[in-house]
Amino acid sequence: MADFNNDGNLDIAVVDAVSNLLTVWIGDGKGNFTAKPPLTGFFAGPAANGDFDGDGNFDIAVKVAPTIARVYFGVGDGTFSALVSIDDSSMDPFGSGVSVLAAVDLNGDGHSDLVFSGPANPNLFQVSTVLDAYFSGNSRTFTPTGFGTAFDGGSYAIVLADVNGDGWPDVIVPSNFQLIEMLSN
Amino acid sequence: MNRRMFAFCTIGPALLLLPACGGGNSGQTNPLPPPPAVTAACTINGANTSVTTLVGSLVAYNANPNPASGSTCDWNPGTPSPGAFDTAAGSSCAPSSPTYTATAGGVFSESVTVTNGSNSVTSNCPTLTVQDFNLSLLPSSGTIAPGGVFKYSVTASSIDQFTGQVNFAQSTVLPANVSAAWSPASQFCTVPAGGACSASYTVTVGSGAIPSDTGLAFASTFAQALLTRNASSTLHVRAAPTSFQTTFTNNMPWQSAGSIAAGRFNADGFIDLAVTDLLPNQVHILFGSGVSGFPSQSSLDLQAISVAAGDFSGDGRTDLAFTTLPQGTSSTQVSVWTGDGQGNFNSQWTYSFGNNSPCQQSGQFGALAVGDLNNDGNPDLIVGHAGFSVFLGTGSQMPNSLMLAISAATPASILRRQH
Repeated sequence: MADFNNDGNLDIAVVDAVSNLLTVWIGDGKGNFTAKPPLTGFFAGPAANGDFDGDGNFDIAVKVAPTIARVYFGVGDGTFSALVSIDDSSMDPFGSGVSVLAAVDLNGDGHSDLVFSGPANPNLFQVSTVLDAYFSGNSRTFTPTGFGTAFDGGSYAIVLADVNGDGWPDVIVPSNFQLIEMLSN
Repeated sequence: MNRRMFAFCTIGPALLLLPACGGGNSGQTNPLPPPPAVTAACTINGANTSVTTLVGSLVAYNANPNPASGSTCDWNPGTPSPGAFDTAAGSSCAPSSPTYTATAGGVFSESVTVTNGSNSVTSNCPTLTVQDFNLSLLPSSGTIAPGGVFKYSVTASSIDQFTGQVNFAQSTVLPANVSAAWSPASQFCTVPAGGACSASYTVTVGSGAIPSDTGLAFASTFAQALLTRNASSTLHVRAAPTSFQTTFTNNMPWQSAGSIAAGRFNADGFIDLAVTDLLPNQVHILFGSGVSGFPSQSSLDLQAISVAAGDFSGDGRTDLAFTTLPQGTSSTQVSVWTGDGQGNFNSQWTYSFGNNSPCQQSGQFGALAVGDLNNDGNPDLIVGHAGFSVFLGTGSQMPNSLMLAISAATPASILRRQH
């Protein structure tokens, strides 16, 4: 959810991973919603919304292939004009296709950065998860942060909150191996 | 600004000329000594015309620039009463005495009666107009991060029907990468009598790095004639994070962590977590301690698929919403458990999707997102299934019943609101 068309009302972005559609429903602030034409043409996976290019319009990142995330840049009216793809084998080297995306401004530059958590090994007995992030910069570029880490267990959720009280959001990921992995600053 | 000025020029009333005493008229009876000369010429700060000054200024009244020896003064208030001074007869007529620190009160009138022996003369003082503005700068403090914008509101309001032009200025040198602008662009605006004049001051921090945490003390100043007023506010500019670390916390209670939500569930101010677990069917509540993990835990018996946090009951305490698949049923549900602010949660509201609902037909549901979709200040629930459903929160006990259901052929997930 975000205000994709800058009218002050929350809109809803819905990913249909079977039909491979990503639809933004524009809210009128009264609880009514009208769908924009969906984004199509990809294998839709987990998605996140944030302002990755810092232009004040909400953008959407969606996992479109096991190792590829695609970022659609919002125009500010609920539609999207451009995209970039981030292809990184570390996102899902074994192609099991499950990962979680989140958008959060980690480095305080006013741009949402892209955080992902995904399985690094699909072997049920040696499941591990990678938590990594890309800094988004001007010119709609994404740079690996280099602080990715692997930990035991599968992970299917990310939450953002300031756990350590330093004023900056932290990234919290629970894993099936009775772990919490936290990325903080 | 204070100023003290003394005028020694001769002003005002006619001098009484003393008759010459003839020394040779011994045959005449000596007359009574003539009454001493008495003069009164009240000035304020040396001026003999109306004086305008500012609250806080030091005002020197002078009854007579050259009082005859033995003169006494009686200061009498005019309007407003009591005015600037009210002294008893017989008080000193020393030059520049008494002095007065101007306080708000509008226009003062005052008179002084100078007495010497049986003679007395009264002089009306120049009118004293005391002017003032109030200056406010809101908010009084703030925090800004790189890439952020912070807006101040500066207002000058008139007291004493004072009309004048104010000049807003920010007196702190902005650090590199920080810029600011006034709106309107002119920092001058006119305060109408009894009214106010406002401007906004917007501070923007660029997207580049701020070298270190910087405290900006904003002293806002304006001046009109002698008037200077200051209002200060502190804006803390946070440095961007430059280092990151990953930390593990072991021995969490779940076997199959699913969904996670964060919020302040108890009163200690630290972020707490709720994690769904299908092995066994529990929701684990982890109480944060700031930096040292999650030492305290509890659990709810619930087969939850997704969890989201929000104040659905409107009591200021964080509640939890779940999508659930109760054991032994095929009826998927959405429920709200209200928090008591001490870390406990109690089931308050459940909505069951029927067996022919989109949820059941899709064979999958559970996406859950929270946001205020109708701008009533209460969080609403969005449940993803084949399509999605919206439940509008009322801010009382529970969300309204199903408000909107949009069906689709296949399961949907809902993008959650993020930073």
